[in-house]
Formats: sequence, structure tokens, C-alpha cells
Amino acid sequence: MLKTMLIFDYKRKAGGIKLMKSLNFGWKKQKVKKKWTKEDSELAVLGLPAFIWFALFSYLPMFGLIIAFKNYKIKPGHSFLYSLFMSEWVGFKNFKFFIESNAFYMLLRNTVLYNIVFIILGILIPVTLAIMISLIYSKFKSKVYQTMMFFPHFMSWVVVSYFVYAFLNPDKGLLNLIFVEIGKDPVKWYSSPKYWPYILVFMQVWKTAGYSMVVYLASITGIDGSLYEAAVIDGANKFKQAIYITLPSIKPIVIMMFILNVGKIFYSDFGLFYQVTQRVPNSLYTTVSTFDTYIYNALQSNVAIEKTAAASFFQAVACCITILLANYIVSKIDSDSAII
Amino acid sequence: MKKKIKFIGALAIVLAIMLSLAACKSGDAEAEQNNVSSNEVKEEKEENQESNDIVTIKWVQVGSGMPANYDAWKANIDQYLEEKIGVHLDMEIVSWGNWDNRRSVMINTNEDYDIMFTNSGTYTSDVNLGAFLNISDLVQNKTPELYKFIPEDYWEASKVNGEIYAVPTYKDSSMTNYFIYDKELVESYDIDYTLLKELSDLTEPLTRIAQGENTSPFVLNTIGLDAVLSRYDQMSAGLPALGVRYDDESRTVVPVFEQEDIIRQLDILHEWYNAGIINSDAATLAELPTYRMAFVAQGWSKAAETTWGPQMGVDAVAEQWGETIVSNDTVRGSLSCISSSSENPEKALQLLELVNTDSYVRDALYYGLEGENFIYTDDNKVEKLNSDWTMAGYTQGTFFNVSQLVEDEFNQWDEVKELNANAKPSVLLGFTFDYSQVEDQLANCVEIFNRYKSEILTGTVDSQTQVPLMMEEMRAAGFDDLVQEAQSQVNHHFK
Amino acid sequence: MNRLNEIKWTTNVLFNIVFLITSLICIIPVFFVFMISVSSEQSLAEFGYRFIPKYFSGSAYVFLWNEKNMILQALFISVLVTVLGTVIGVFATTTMGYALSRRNFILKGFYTWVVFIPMIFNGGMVASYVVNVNILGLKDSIWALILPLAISPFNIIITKTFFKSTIPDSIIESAKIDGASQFSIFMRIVVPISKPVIATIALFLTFAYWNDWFQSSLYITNSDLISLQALLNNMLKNIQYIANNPTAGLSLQQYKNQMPTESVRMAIAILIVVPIACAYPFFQKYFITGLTIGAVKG
Repeated sequence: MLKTMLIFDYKRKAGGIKLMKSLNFGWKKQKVKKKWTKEDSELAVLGLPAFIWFALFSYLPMFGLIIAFKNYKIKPGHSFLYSLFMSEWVGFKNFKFFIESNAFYMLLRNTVLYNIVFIILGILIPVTLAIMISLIYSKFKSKVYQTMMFFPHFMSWVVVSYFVYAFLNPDKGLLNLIFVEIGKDPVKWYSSPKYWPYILVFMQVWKTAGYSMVVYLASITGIDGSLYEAAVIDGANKFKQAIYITLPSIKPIVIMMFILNVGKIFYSDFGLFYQVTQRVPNSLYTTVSTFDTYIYNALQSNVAIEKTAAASFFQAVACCITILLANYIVSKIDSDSAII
Repeated sequence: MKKKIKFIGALAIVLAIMLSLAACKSGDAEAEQNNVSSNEVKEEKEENQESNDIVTIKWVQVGSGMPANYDAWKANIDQYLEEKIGVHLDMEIVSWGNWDNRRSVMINTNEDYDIMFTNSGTYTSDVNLGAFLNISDLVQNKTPELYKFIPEDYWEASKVNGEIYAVPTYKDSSMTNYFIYDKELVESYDIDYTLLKELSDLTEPLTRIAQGENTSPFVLNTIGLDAVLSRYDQMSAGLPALGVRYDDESRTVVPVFEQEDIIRQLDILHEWYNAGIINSDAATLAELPTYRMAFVAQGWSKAAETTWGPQMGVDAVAEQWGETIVSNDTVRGSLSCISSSSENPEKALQLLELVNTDSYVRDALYYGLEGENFIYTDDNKVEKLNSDWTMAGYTQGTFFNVSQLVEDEFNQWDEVKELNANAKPSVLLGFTFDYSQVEDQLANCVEIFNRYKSEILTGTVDSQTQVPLMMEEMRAAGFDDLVQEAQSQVNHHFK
Repeated sequence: MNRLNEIKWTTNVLFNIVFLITSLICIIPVFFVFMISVSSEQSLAEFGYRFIPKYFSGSAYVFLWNEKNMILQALFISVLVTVLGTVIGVFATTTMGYALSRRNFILKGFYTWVVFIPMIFNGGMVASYVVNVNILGLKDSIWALILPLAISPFNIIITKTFFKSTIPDSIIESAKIDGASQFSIFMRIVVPISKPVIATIALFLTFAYWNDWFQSSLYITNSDLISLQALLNNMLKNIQYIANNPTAGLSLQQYKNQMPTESVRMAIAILIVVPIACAYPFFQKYFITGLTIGAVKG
């Protein structure tokens, strides 16, 4: 059904003004008008609860975006919004502070690089594990493994950091106690930056692999068994089956997870980088700091809210660009998989 | 293309709807609040004269959470307050763990409150934000009792830009550092702790203990031994690397870590670290163990008997280290600030006055509900019935009118008063550094300092190499601008 | 899988070993934390953290048992919030997901952008606080714990993808011909065959609600309304306050006594993890088998 002319009908919530937009791309074919049907009303109502939620909890607070552009000062006796609107507009000054700060390029490098590694490993490892676990004979054992591997997901990073500290504490931690007992020198873990990329990557995989594996496994178990039977008849071994049947079948969900994670590439998991490192001691600073730990530290030393707002705004815009880019690239390769 | 237009259209319309809704709401709220004029004194006079209405004062403090018997307690104290000053209380006690976040949003969004607990960490930035009321005139004219009760120096220390924005809590507001030891331990090693007056004096005894006990006697955590810096007034800028020596009459602003006396102290710390006197995980240790063989803390000498010892579960002894100093920072450890949007600032001040002068009110806040949390004995002392009370006494008001506990053999507050009285005021008392012109440099330097501080102040690294590195980074970030700006302000303020 | 199409026996053993190791790596930390929670403080101070403590002590759990009223109340709140929130969230998410999955829906583009934009931009903590407290009046209310977390764009995309790929158009069309409204199509046709996605979203929401402590820390003062995570997290974090405020003097240090010891904090961590860890296998049954049912493409 070629719709070459579309009329959008937006009703303003508070009033009755209809805004009509029509788009004409110059096709000479017969133009089909899309009318508002009863079905559309019903669907609109179905989506209404979510719409109202978004209006109240996502869009209403969006005025917060302008905090980044202002020098916020309280006007006594007035509401926050009044004070905010009346505060001095400073344009991009807060952004300048953020981008010209000592740390910007280091933070950028850390945040993005760690995320790239996380994204790649976060697909390779769980997918491989999911395929492997789907092939095990005993379904019971498979369920047991899944349950156990899901455990790390439940633990908050605060709790995990206690556990990591119990291992890595230079004086009393388990690892150093073992080292001493086998005759090696104890390592000052929290003062040695070179180990931490590995430690952090390991902890990230540890926490998320079980969870991601279950998600991909759900997709795998949904694959039609007859496909495999046909492959066997054609003489394919298990390995070939995995590559030519399993992987393509879970492609949509893998791509969706990929795009969504790319959309968060300028964000980092605060708990991982802050709690597990015991609040980023100086020796580890250039190795493990990310935008989010920097913003949090800034908040702690009472930097004004507009500065942290600028940093968050920057993250949001950067992520917006990357996710649209990623989606565009994917849609060019395989238009079904793009999520927008 | 289609999608783009859809996007822009959707975004524009949704945003328009939401912003107009928001503007309407804020307009309403603003209209309401405009009825309360921002010229408080005039309003207050009118209110006082025209009605006997009871006003409710909202007070936000940090503590262990809301007390379980809050309602009963409130009903009880409200009766008393009603009679005295026509006020009812509405307390919001935020737990320790939530305090930073909650306080920050409440202040920044200008939520309704009358009195807010504040301390030096956030005081000046909140004043600069416009959150607090200037009470310089109000406190002198309307609550002269309160004004007289707290010493002049302390009001001076609470000033920002020459105006008073807070009522300081008159307690151990001067700072005296002590060396504290496990009594039995030092006796077993024949150490006469009363002779140990300086950091260097401790090296030999602590080395002996380290060898004898085969453990680190002087345990530090990530904060390190920041007491070495206490002789320098940091002008409440939040950058310990910048300061004026408290007794420097010439009031020269200097880079603290390059000063002779500081360098010597840091060298000692590093020596201790290498000798195993300081624990090797100091720079990453989040919290101190309950028991420590030797440590430094602020307080008063009798605290060894009343607090430090009991906390550790052993007998403790203390010896003073250095002089007692009073400076802006020491006084600002606990402040009560009145919101600039408060509708009843005068009543709020009267409440604070009552808290600081009337023992009944003070005890109610400090100990809880009479009959449930404590009772008065015949000689007007207090016997605690349980330790359920969650409010934190140090956030509320002076300690000097808190009724004594039965088990106290002596009044430790007497010693505190004496220490306060004999404290040496810092030469910068009353001066607050206005860093609005150099805030970028300051923020960058603070960030640099925060990275280095744990390792330098715990002796983990050799300060001879690390300090120059840190100063180099800071200078590149504009440290010298800070020195210049601060010095010119100091000169201007004290001319 | 067809018996003829299985992996070799040796491969199976290999795989099993791999999974055994990874599973143990995942479980051991919990076990370790539990061991620390039953170590005596003295044992921790002298011998450090060991798998088998030198001295056992149940004092951490005794301490928590004395707080049981508070803990049970918080547990009640957590359960209430989780159940209510999950129900509300599932309802709003699936309805929107369904609406978005219908190709001919006129507002589809509009709604899609409405859902998508918040994934990228949000107003920040301060702005949300202003809206929730000043405009919506949610301060110190249980709804502050429920509503803000009910919907996430991520969940909506999942449901939309599911509906689009799993519900055959033919069924919908024939129901429309029979005169059914979209509401009844949704309730009577779509929902019954959507158990997998409902279970998935329910699981995500349950985790989000159960683990949340941030909402309580920002909005709740009344100690009867704190969630379990918030209560326990509070106990874990309050020791940092003293560390962060050295200038407050000795009068603040006195509160250290009220703060829990290390073994207590480990016990708290166990308390946080164990309930939901026990609930998960129950969900998992539903989750996995449900997914296999719904995955056949029409």
C-alpha cells in the first residue's frame, strides 16, 4: 500500500486546535488519504496510560535541560521554576568548563573504550555460552547452571565491591594471603593501575554474562527444530549448524541489544567504576575514571548543579548521535533489524 | 525525511504542551508565594501584632532516621513550645546515608523548610546560591539572648561577605588535636605519653610497638592524617593546599604543601609508612577499625574517658598536640541556617534561641521523649532508658545546656568551655574567600588535590617527589591565580 | 532436539565442565560473603578475610534479628511496591507495545518518538524531584516508589518487537472482520499468547523495583515507608558520612557506635540477595518454557 500523502492529525491536549501536516513527495500516482478510523482511536486509547506516564515523568521534567545553560541562583520566596527561568543565561559556558577541564579527553577515552570492550565481549561470550548450553544433554543440569550463573545479576555493586575488597585488600585480602603462602610477593592491588582494565572487564562480564546468556537462550530455544533436521540431512555438522542456523535466527535480538548498548556508550555503570575500585584512588585515576565518576565526584565537592547538568547534557547528546548513527548503518545493511 | 519531520513535529508539540503545563503550574505556585512578600521584617511585624496563630517551623537535620515515637514526642514538645513562643515543630530527620543527596536537592530546588542543618562543606556555596537568609540584623535585634549567648568570635566565623547567614552550634567549636593511646599498651612498653608533644616524638615509641606487636600501631584510612594541615586556615575554599598559617600576622596566602613545617610532617609520615607503623592499605581503607593502638583525633582530654576509650573497649589516655585553634572551619562544623524563603524567620530564630537557652527544650531534642527515652532524676540529671532516640544532638544546638547523664561523674562540657575560651583565633577569622572569579581554576585544583591527598597524607608515597608533581599540575590549572586572588581579597578585608 | 542431531559425548562432558566452573565462579562470592557474615570481628581483624573463618560468630544475625520489626516492615513495603509496580508497568507497557506494533496505526510514528526520546534525554535528578514533589505531590508517598519506575522505553521496544513478530496479522484481521474492537482483540487474543513477553517484562520490572533504593533515599522520610533495599543500603552507607565530615568534631564521631560492624554489613548483603535469589528459580520455569511456546512463527 503506497501511501504517498500522509496527513497527521495532532490534537493539542488542552485545547481543540488541529494541526494538519501534509507531505507530498511528488509521486504522480494516485494519492491515498489516510483517514482516522475507529481502530486508530482504540489503539490511541490503548497507548494512553503509557503516554500519560511519559508526559508526566519524562517530558514534564525536561525543563531540567536548561539548567545546563544557566547560572542558577535562588530567588527567595519563589518556586524553583521561577528562579530557574529568571537566572542568568550563560550559553555554553558550563560546557566550556567541562570540555576544557583537565580530564575530558582521558574520561572520553576511558568511557568509550571500556564500553566498546564491554559491548563486544557482551555479545561474544553470552551468545557462545547460550549456544553451548542449549546443546547439553541434561535439561535439568542446564537449568541448574542457568540459575547459578544468574546470581551475579542480583548482587548490587556495593555488595560486589565488598567481596572484591575481601579478595584484593593488600593486608588481609584472600589473594595476597594466598600469594604469601606460596612464596610470592603480595601485590598492592589498589595502587597498581595496570591490572585494573582486566579486573574491571572481568567483573563486568562476571556480572552480566549469565543474564545475557538467558536472554539469548530464550531466543535460541524458539528456533524451529525442523530447520536443524533439514541441515542434518544436508550433512551439516553441529558447528556448521550453529553458524548457519542458530546465529542468523538470533540476529534480530543481537542487533537490538547492540544498538541499545551503543546508545549508552557515553554512559558507564557507575557502581562498577566507583564502588569496585573503592572510590577511585589516585593511582587508578587515569585508568578507571569515566564521565559518571567524574560527575559524581564533582557533585560531592559541591560544584554547582549547572556544571553537572552540562556534563549530563553532553553525554545525552553524544549518545543520541551515536545511536542514530548506529541505527542508520544497521538499517542500510539489513533494514528489518533497525529499531527505529 | 518523513521521519525527521515526524520527529520534529512530535517533539515540538509535546514539548510545547509540557512547557505550558509547567509554566501554568509554576505560575500558580509563584502567585501563591508572591503573596508572601520577600521583605520579611515588615511582614513579621504585621504577623506578630495581628494574630496569635501558631506557626509550624520545619527543621531538617541529619540523624539515624525519624524516631519511632515521633508523633508522641512532637505532641509533647509542641505543647511546651506553643506556650513559650507560639510554635509547632515539624522535623525531618534524614538518615546519614541519604543526607548528601537529599540535602542537595532540597536546597537546590528551594523546597519549603525553615531551618536546615549545614556544615562547612556546603555552607559557602549554598550562601552563594541564595539559599539562606541574611540574619545579621534579625539575630541582634529580635533574639538578643541568642546573640549574647554565643561568643562574638563565633558569629564572626559564620560570616560570609560580612553578613551572618547561620547560627553556629556552640559546642566543641574550637579545635584541639590529641594523641590518643591504649593505656595498657603504652604502659606495658614503658612509654610516658605525656612527654610526646610532637609527631616526631612518637617515632621511637611507635617503632617499638610495631616491632613488639608485629602490627601497625598507627592505623590510618583514606583521609590520612589531615590533622597535620590544621595549622593552616583554608579559607573555606575546600582546597587544603591553599591557606594561611593560623598565627601568621602578615596573612600571607601560601601553597600549604610547600611549607617547611608541613614538609617535615609529611616526611615523618612516609618514614612511618616504610617502617610499618602505618598500615599499608591506608590509602584505600575506607573506614577505621574500632580499636586502634594510637591515633590522632579532635576533642578534649576527658573524652578519653567518656568517649574514645569506651568506643574502643579499653582504657584510653590522651595528650594534647599543638594549640587550640578556632577558625571559620572549626566553628562551621555544625550550623543552623534559615531558608531565604522561610515565611517565619523570626519564629525560627526564636526557636533556635529557645533550644540554646532552655534546657527542657534542649533535652527533648537531645534525649527524646521524657518517660519513654529518658527520665529526670531528683537532682535534675538524666537517666537514659534506652538508646532508641535517633536525632543527632550535635546538629541541633549548644551542648552547654544539655542536662547531664547520671553516670557522668564530672561535667566534661566544662573542659570544652575552657578550651573554647582559651582558643587562639585564626588570623583569618571571619574571612571567606569569594572564589566566583576563579571557580574554574579552583574546581580543577580541588579535583587534582582529591586524587593525591590519600596517598600523600597517609605517607604511602614519598612526598618529596609527589608534592612537586601535584603542585606542578595545580599550577598548570591556575593555582597561582588562586593565590593572587585570595591574597588581594585578604588584604582588602583586613585593611 | 533430535537424538540423531546431538553433540558428541565428549563434547558434552567438556561443555559441562565449562559450565560447572563458570557457575561456581558466579556463586562463590555469595558464599564468601556469607562466610564473612558469620565471622567474628576479632577473627576478621586478626586473620583477614578467609573462606573458613577462625572464629565463628552469629552476632551479626543477632543484631539484625533485633531490628526485625524495621526489617519486616521494609520487606512488606518492598513486596507491595514490587507487586503493584509490576502490575501497573506490565499493563502500561504491553498496551503501548501492542499499539506500536500495529502497522496501520495513524499515531504510530508520534507515539514511537514519544517513547524513544526519553531514552536519550532526561531532565535530570533535580528537575524530576521538582516535578514529583511540587507538581505531583509525591513526597513521602508510596507512589513515589512505584510510579517513576513503572515504564521504560527499553521494555516497550521489547514488547513491540515481540508483538510484531509473533502475532500473525491474519488472526487480527479475522477478529476485526468479526467486529471485535482493538480492546477485546488485545485482551482476548493477544494477551493469552503473550505469556513469554509478559513474563520477561514482569521479571525486569520485579528486579528493578526490588533493587531500587534511590527513590526512597530521595523522597521518603517516614520510616514506615522505606523499602528493604533502601533500609539496608542505608546501613551500608551511613558509615561514610562520618568519614566525609572530619570538621564536625568529636561530637559527631560519637555516633560511630551506632553504626554496624563489618560482619553485620555482610549479613545485610546476604539479606538483600537471598530472597530474590530464591524467588528467581520459580520465575525461571515460567520464563523459559513460556518463551519456547510463543516462539513459533505463524
